[in-house]
Formats: sequence, C-alpha cells, structure tokens
Amino acid sequence: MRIVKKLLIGITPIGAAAYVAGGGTFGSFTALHEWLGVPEKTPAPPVREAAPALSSRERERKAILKAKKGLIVLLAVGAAAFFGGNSTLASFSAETSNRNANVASGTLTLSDQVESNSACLTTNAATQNNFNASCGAPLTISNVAPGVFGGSAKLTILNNGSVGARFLYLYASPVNGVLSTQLTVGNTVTTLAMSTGLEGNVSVGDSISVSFGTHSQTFVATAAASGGATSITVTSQPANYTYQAGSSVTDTSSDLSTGPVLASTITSGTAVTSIPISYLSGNVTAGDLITLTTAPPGSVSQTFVATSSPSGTASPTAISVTSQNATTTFPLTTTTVRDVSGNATNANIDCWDAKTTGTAVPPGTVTHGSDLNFDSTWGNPLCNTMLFYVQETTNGKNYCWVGKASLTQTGACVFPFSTTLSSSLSTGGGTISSLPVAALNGNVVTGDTITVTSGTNTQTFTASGNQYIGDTAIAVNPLTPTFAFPSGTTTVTDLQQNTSLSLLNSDQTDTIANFDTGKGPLGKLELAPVSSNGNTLASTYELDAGASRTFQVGVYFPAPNGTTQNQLQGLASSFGLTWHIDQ
Amino acid sequence: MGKRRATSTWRLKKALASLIVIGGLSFVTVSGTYAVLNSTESNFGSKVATGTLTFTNKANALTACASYGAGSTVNANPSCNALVDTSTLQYPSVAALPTVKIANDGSVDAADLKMYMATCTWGTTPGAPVVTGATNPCLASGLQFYLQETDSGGTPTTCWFPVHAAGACTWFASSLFVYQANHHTAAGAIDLGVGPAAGQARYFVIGLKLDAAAANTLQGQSATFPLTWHIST
Repeated sequence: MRIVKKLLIGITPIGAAAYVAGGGTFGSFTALHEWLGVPEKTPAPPVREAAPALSSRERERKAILKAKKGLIVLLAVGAAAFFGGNSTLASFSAETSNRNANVASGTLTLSDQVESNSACLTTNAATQNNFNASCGAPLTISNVAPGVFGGSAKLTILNNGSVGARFLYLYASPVNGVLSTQLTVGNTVTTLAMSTGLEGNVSVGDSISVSFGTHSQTFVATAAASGGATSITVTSQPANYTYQAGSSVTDTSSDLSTGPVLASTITSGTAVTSIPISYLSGNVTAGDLITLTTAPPGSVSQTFVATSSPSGTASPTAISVTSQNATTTFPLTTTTVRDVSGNATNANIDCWDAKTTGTAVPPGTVTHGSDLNFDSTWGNPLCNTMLFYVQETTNGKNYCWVGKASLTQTGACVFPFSTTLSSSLSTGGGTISSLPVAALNGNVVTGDTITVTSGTNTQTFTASGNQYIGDTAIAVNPLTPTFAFPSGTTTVTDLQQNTSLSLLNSDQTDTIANFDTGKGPLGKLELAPVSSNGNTLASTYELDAGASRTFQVGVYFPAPNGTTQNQLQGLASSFGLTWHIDQ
Repeated sequence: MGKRRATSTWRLKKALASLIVIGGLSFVTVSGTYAVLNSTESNFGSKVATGTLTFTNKANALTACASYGAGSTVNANPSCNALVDTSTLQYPSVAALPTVKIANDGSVDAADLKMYMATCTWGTTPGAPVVTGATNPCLASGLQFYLQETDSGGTPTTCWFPVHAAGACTWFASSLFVYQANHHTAAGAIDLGVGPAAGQARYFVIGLKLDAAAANTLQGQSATFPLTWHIST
C-alpha cells in the first residue's frame, strides 16, 4: 500500500495535468467519488469517547483514504478549471491575453554543387518534399580505356538552412525515375510511365514507391525493367492521390543484391540439364545463353543454352538447359548465374550498363558499342568492373570514404591523377625538385613515376613525397628537364610504373556495383567530420547551418594483368549518389 | 469488509493505471510531435563510357578485314586475307613484297602494336613434281623474311626485322626461320611501338625471297605461315 501511495503521489501531477489538458469525462463529482470507491459524504458523527487505538491495518486503510481524498481534490481542481473556463458563473472576473505568440520553425536544406556549376537545391525540388533527386551528374566521362586515367570531379555539399544537421549521410541511390504521366486519384494504375528513363534495373516483385509532397503509394513490379526503360509494369491498384508528373519513382527493394546465384552446387563432370537459381529478375527466353561463373580469384565460367522460358520470380526456380557436363564444380551461393542474352538476371541495382551509340566519326569507324557484337550489357558487366572512389578534401583534410584506401598515404584513396603543368620547365635552370601543376585530381605516393609529356617529348621524374588531391606541386627527386615543357599543354600523370596502380588493376571489390549493394539506403555511410587526414571526430553537428564539405569523386577502369577487357568496349555505366542530412 | 476493501483498492489501482496511461500518452504524444527535419539530394545519372579499340587489316589491294568482322570472336579475327598465295610462284632473287595496312577504326589510341608468326608449315607447291631430298623452306637456309614499315606512300621509314633501324631493311639468310623461332607466341611477339592512334593507320611491307643461291632441293616446296597483328591500350 505504501508503494501504491508513492505511485499515486508521483503520477498524480502528470495524470492530473494530462487530465486538465485533455478535459475530463466525469459527469459529476458524485460519479467520480463512486468510481474511486470513496463513500458518500455523511454528516459528522456525534462526539464520542476516544476511539480505541487502531490496528496497523486500520492505520493503513486510513492513509489510503487520505491519499484518495488528495487525488479527488486534484481532479476536482482540474474539473473546476475545465468547467470553469466554459461556464457563465456570475462573479467578478478579469483576464488578459498575450497576443500573437509566434513560433517559427527553422529550415534544414541542402545545396549540392558540382565543380563550379550552379548549385542544386532541395528547396525547389519538383517533388516539393525537400528531396531533389535530379541534381547534376558529377561525372560524364567518355572513351575510357583500361589502365588510363578515368576522371574525377569535385562536389561541395552545403547546409543552406538555418538548423544544424546532426547527421550527414552518403549512400548509393536506389533505382529511381521521374513520373511522366499523372496518376489520378481513384483511377486504376497498371503502368508507371517515366520521363528520362529509369536509373537502374527493376526486378519482378520489387516495391515501387511513388511520392509527391507528403503523399506516397507503393506498387509491386510485375515485370523486370532495365535501366533506361520508360515504364514499369505494376500490379493493378487504384491511385490513392493524384500524383502529378514529376513525382518521384523509387524502387525500395533495390541495391540489396548483385544478382541471382546458384541455388544448389553443380559438381564437376556431372551432366547439367537444369540450373537451379536463387531468383529471376525477369523472364528467360529459350535460346538465351546462361553463364555460370565461380567467385574470384581464378574465376571459371561455363555457358549453357536455355531450353525453357521461366518467368521472373523472387523465389528460387530453375532454368532448363541443353545438357552439358560441368567443366568444374560450381558451388552454391558463390557462383553467379547470368543470362547474357537478356535481362532475366540483371541485379536490381542503381548502376546500369548500355551500349554507347552515335554517328561514327570519322565515317566508317567503329567508335560505339552499338557497332560491336561482343559487348553484351546483360548483367551490367561494366558496373561490376569500374572502380569508384569518394575522398573528402574539406579544408585540406583528407578521408577516403569509398574506394580502396591507401596503406601508405593517410586519408587518401588509391587513385591516379592526370593534370597539366602550370608553369613551363626550363632546360637551362639546372635541376628541379618540384613540378608545378594544376590542382591534382588524384593522389601521389612517394616513389611514383611521374611522366611529363609534350608531343613526342617525354621525361620521367620520381615523386619524393606524398601529394593529395588539390595540391599544386609535386615534389620530385632533383632532375634537370630535358625539354622546355610548356605550361598548359604538357600533361603530367602517374599512370606508368605506379605501384599503387597495381593495387587498383587487381581490385574487384571497390566497384560501382558493390558500392550500390554495400552502401545503399540501408547501408548508408555516416560522414562524421574529418579532424585530420584519415581521422574523424564526433561532433554535435556533422554539417552545421551554413557549413559545407567538399569531396572528390572519381572512377578508374582497371587493367588486370594478362586479362583483356574487350567485352567491356563501347559500354556506358550510369549511376547516382545520394546525400542526406538529418536534424 | 475485506472484500469491500479489496474492491476499493482495485478500483484505485485501475484509476491509477488509467491516469498513468493518459499521462503517458500525453507525454509520448507531446514528444512525438517534434518535427525531425531532413533533406536529401541525389546526383542523378553520372555516366562513364568506355571507348572502342578495333582495327582493320588490309592485305595488298584486297578488302580490309576487321578484328570484329565475320569469323571473329571477341574482337579477334583469325580469317583475314593471306598476304601471298601459291598462285604466284617464287624464284630465287625474286622478292614477293605484299603490303599490310593496319588501321585503327576504334575510338581509343593503340598504345602498342605487335606481330608474331605462330607457325611455319612446310608443304609442296601444288602441281610440282616430287623432289628427292626436298628441304624445308621454313628452316635455316630457306626463305628470307623482313618486316618493313613505310609511310602511306610506300617510302620506307623503319626496318623492324631482321635489324631494327631507320630506313630500308636488308636481306638476311635464314631470316624467316629466325623470326618464327623468336616471335611465335603472343608473349614473344615483336613490339612495333606505339599506335596507330584512333582513326590512323600504319603501313608495312613483308619481304619474302629465296636467296639467289637457294638450293635446288627447295624447288616445288611451300611455306605456309600466319601473321598475327595485335593492338592494345
């Protein structure tokens, strides 16, 4: 009972306050008394002789009664306040009003700027929900070859709101698009039409969310859709809102898998007539070529011919094939299964491949993937090969957030550079120990061979120290220039005899596809502030109001020793990055 | 009495519990209405495109044969035209000088061009009489061979084999045998340097000759050999 009393006293203010705020429902105090089990008040009894001493039980009972009375008083006060406010009791009264209390919320918005281009803002997003899905692409690179500098770009993320963001995240965009045809409330929807084409691939059974402002609706894909598609077929349902053209379309099931795998082990030498598969993104067509590939290193592949046409399904299934003996043992779960004739096994990741197209220049040349017959896009092979990195460079403090981190250069990603001389070199000035360059777009490691080229004139230097992205000089071992390399047009690279590059050329991990599946919406990277090269420090705000952070993003096409990459000629990978801040 | 007390207490507890719930709801509700602000942006459609590295091989005045053409497998075409065939018979001191034009019709510059001769097969000239003690023209003292680079007009620029030097090549004894012995695999191919760049071509003359003092046992004999050209980035 003591516990009850303490509890009573403890919660009564809260409960009473809530009761006052919420309004009472008791019709009368009498009812309240009865409900609480408090007896009706009776006239005071006549004076009697002193009552005998109470037992402990009696004393306790009296104490509870006292507590109950206290409770009733509080409730009565609350009730009086409640009823009193609305009553017309005739009495003196007075009141004052504090006019025009003004409560204003702050803002939390983002600005995203690629190089020195115009910033892209969340405040004017077409979907009116502080989410701008259409900011500019930081990378638009063409004619890339293996082992050659791919490209990189600088991104500046700014909190242009009034409220500090406690959290800043980076993650791979989910498969997404923009609605091109309005969905009218109440009308049945079976297709989602999109403008500009889908970024990424949709698998059968994926959940597709359509959003505008505070409204959203989820549909289910009934067929696979490849990157670039302009529509997604969905299970019929009526629209719950009129989603205007421009609404965002997001595959919330995406970026979770790199594609279907073998569901049961196939032993070397056995006759294979059926390939068990974990799921099918889309439909197989009889005649499609189905390739099994074991996990690296030392991957082994074997191609079969489909004799059945199973439909896309999120459940395990099997593809019948023309009988062949397995040339090796293909283990379950680690063996990939790819339909290289269609989209039946395309992973539903944001990155997707397409053949390059265009008019041959000069005429008669073969400068696009559409001119070739050996560069299949199924399975997004370039997405699964192209390496990707994101290095923070805010205020000269470097951190490799995505990509292969250097083991010898703190905070740097392993990444080559290609730039130009910012000042000409002289042959008559003796030895030089520094090369003046335009801001580096990659990192230099001590010992790297630095190649300076102007036309047919080439000279190599050896880096004598580490340099980071943005540095404007490369320290080198003293050497006299052999040619008056002019500024501006002389290229300076570290692409030859660079020990770091050997790490990249054998790298099969830091691909765009693995970024999608490893750092998708469910695995987003929290970007704690960088306190020094390679170090972060927790802070109240990861992106304070008015603060910005800069990043260099880049790609590299690896050239693994002894392996041709011909099947990747004439392909283009498209992908997105998403930045998110939370209050 | 005891039963009434138990009922009263139970009612009290129920009232208590109700207040706790109301108070609790108010408490939770009030904090649940704090707006958690957030903002998101996506950089849409970054695009990285690879180039193409393909070439054509034009033997003499015949139609150019493409690395990606009919009969090719993943940009390797083993079926381009023969440089020389048995329709033109060779005699000592009379050189056969077929030409080869290697044209890069892709979009990426070739960083390297190589050439190798995988095999040299001894045979008999069709219709020739049987020669007793015939000797193999693929071997030493057999056919002579050189690899000459020229400009588009045919003027020699670089001799790549048998002696790498600027200008015109000269004949050497047993040179076909030496070339095939040293450059018969991709790994052992002769390195012909950088290029051609995208859209550019390089021109070669293949020198083939029986020496003036060739043995009679070489009469009516044939040598069949492929030349494989390889470009890479």
